[in-house]
Amino acid sequence: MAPDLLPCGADRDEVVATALADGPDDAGAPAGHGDTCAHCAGARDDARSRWDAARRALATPEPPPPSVAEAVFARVRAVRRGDEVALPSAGPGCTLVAAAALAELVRRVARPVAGVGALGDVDVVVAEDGGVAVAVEVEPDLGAAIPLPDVAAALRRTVAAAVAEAAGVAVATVDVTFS
Amino acid sequence: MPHAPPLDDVAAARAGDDEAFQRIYEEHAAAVHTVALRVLGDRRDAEEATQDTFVQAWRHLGSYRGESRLSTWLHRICVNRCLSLLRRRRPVEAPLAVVADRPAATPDPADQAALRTELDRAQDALGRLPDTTRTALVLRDVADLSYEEVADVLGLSLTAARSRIHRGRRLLLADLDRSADEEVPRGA
Repeated sequence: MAPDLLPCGADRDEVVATALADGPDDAGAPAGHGDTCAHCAGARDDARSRWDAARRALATPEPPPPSVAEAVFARVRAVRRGDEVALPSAGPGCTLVAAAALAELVRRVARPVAGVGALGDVDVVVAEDGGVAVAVEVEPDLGAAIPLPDVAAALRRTVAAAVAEAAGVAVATVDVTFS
Repeated sequence: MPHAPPLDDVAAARAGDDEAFQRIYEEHAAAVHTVALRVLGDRRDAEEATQDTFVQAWRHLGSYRGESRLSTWLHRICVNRCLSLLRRRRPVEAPLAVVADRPAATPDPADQAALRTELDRAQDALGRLPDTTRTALVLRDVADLSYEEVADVLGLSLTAARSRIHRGRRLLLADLDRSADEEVPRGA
């Protein structure tokens, strides 16, 4: 496409580029003709004025509605307490799940794992770096003759997959205690 | 636009002072939300990104060392969240048009209407820029970050950040020119 030339012969796009720069160091434009030419000055002033109007409009601060602050602090409080887990949010507002509900989920998926005879306490708390930390007390099924490290490994895999799928939350650790 | 890093509030919030964290939120929420709105062009997504930014900031206050302005650090979290939302949204190709609830920043109704019109046009044009160009432009011209800070937040060289910002400005202005031409045919 042919360049859009000003009456003085200067390329309008190049003149506009200098107008949109933050200062002389930023413009990279050669001094000389453009500094004194009325056509260039007019095109530059016009571009700068239109850009300033657009920039001013875009920079107009738009505070979030109060519901955002409420959701932020609700999530912070819930995470700090450790008794509620903030789930990834898919829209405005926050989604919390009781740690006890996640513990029940862990209980359900852990029970059928090979080598698990019975379950004792199951705790789910919010981990320091996000996600949840799970602690499971297991009475092993010794008749299954599965090495305890293998049972623990299967529990970790099963619990992490189930919690991630059901709640979208990462499982940071699964502590298994055999009793 | 916030400038001085309120390190006392950061230290207090890190130690569990909720009021200090609330002060941080109150000081920076509008800037973060405005950036999210300009990058995402959707109010719901912008609110989600703002919410996630502050929750993530609270979680990771311990890693903020004061080497950059707090606003820069928050914008980094916000932009990462925005880009993640844009990637998630990509197949839908949703138009980036913010609708309704314009800011009431100017008391004069005529000025307010003019600002609203300008903002509508600029936001539409902004939405047509490539994501990375738009983000660089917003960080410089909306969040008022320096070129160095934009480069740092986006993981670019200074030259690349500068080039992207300038390209964004030229494209945006050209887009606004085209829109104006379509609305008022030449010679009319």
